[in-house]
Amino acid sequence: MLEERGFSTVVIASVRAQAEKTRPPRALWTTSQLGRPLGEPGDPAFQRRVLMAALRLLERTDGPVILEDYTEDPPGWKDTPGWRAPTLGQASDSLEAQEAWAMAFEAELNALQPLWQIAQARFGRMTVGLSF
Amino acid sequence: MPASRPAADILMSHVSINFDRAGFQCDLNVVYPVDRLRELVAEGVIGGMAETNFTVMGSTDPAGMTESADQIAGQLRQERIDSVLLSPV
Repeated sequence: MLEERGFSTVVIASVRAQAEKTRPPRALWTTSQLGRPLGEPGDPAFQRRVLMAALRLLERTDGPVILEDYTEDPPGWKDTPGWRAPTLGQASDSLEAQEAWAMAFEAELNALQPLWQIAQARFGRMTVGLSF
Repeated sequence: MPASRPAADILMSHVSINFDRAGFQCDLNVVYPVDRLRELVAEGVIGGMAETNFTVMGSTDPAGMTESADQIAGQLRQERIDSVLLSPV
């Protein structure tokens, strides 16, 4: 819609299949995980490379649909199947009673509280309850 | 959303829990690269960046976005912007 109003646009796409289906004029698909399309925090060099790759698509004239892959994985990001937060216990499929679930939830909150406090001190804010 | 708005005043929300929020908490630029864009402006790589940025809800019928698109376009024209970077959040 912005293109129709005279603007050149470029999308950073997190899901390649979605970009293939919606066919924006210019899209750069990255392998970064959802919520971090430009890479990992604290890595401005990587973020800049992704940004420049996206902006360069604005110079291309071989449309009407351009979909390019940015295949460099963010350094330090590894797919770790089975990873669990260190403070959480093992999940149990045997919990059925409502009371048992409430106790497990309370235990989880208590286990996470130290991390919450660390994050609060580090960032000066917490978005728990504000963001979903 | 003013480009000058501090990171601490910006929230990231998504109905899907598959969207990581921890990275954003640590570094706004993983999804909203305002600092990276400012650097590119300072280096002369790009001519400028908008003073006003926008966030819109995805998965929306385009027919219902006409008014918003007009509003966004009008503001960007005022700020002499000709290109738009869209980042999924």
